[in-house]
Amino acid sequence: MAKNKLIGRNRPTARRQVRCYFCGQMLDVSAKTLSTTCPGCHKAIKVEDVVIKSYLPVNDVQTCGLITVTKRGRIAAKRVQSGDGVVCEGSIEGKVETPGPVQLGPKSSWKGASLTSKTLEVDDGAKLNGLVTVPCEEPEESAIDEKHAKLVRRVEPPNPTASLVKDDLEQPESRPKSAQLTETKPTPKPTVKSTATSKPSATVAKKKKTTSKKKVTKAAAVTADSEAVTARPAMKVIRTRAVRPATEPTAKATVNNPAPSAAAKKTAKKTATKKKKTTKKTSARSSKKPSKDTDA
Amino acid sequence: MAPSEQEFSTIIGPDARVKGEVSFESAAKVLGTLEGSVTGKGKVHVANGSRCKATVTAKEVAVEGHIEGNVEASDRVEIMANGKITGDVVAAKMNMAEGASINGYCRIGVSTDDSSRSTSSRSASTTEPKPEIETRPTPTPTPTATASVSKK
Repeated sequence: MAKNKLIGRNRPTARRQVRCYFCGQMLDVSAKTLSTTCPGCHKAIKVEDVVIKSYLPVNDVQTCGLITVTKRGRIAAKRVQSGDGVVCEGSIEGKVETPGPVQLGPKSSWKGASLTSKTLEVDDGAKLNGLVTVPCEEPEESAIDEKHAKLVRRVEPPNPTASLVKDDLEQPESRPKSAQLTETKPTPKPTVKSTATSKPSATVAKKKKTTSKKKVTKAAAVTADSEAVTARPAMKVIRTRAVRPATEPTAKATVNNPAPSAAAKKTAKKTATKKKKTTKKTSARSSKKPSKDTDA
Repeated sequence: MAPSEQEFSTIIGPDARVKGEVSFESAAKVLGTLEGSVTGKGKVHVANGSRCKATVTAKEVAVEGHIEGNVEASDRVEIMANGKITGDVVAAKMNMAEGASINGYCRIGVSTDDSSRSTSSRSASTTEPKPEIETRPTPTPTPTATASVSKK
């Protein structure tokens, strides 16, 4: 099995787990990745290691990797966030937040509102000035999942069938962390599903207005909802494909069929009367013309 | 154990519970519980398992237990792996092992003179530009006022 996996991937690339500094979502990225988009908050996040060799006045220095400040490096920022830690031999001004270790070299200095890290290593001669919180409180996986679930719930429309999706989301909290990590990625999918369920009902409602036959539309709506509930675990594309043909063609077939028949009858009658008139006129002209010729 | 204990002329045992002000002329080791304030001219070692609800002021402070209060060391603060400080720390040097924890305001390597200088310089710098800002707005409204009057 392992051999097959290796063959499937062509070659085993080194991967690493990274936590988004915006929402706390865990990502699995390649070791060579420099930046990516968080699947949780859909924001661009930097994954690469950052080395600061000179003066850097910015608002935020944020990366999931390691921030290294060299002897001549100096950061003047509001916030310095890193995933893997901070190694400083120069100076940092600003709030430092990292779940990793912070190393302050012998000639380094830090000054800011707060420094939050897992561990702090201070060499002799280093200067610190600010509120230090070591070790930092790591966000629990369950807390992150709850945040993510809240975001998902905001997106969901008020649908009675949505309760099933919520239950599906709440289940992983009680499961072990390893299971949660694997199941955090598919969580955005239920939102798509719930939105997909709302679409067919809306289209059916529009058709209700246009068509006078309510029974047919109601039946179509019921069939659409029942199909949506049964097809919940499927992907968005599958569901939309499955629902649309059930609603549209049936509505068209039931509603549009009687209308063309009546219209066709009317148009046929009109064309028949017109044809009769034209044939009468032509016959009259033809009858008149030969009489003139005969007279001549 | 023996040589390290010989360094300390005073040892407060693990069964001891002291409330009030305690001062040492030389090095001291605290194994029990202290409440109040601790002042030492030498090294004060708060051993593993001990708890100090006190402000600790000494030349050198080593923390292996838990200190709830401000720590001030003229020379160095050393926090071991099990050490925990909940309070402000002021020292010339600090050494912190992995696993140690601090929750408080730290001022390390910044002497009181430097801080006073920096604060004075800050106050000077903040006071200087103020008149400039005040003088600038005053001429600006007058031309607009004259212009409006002349137009009328």
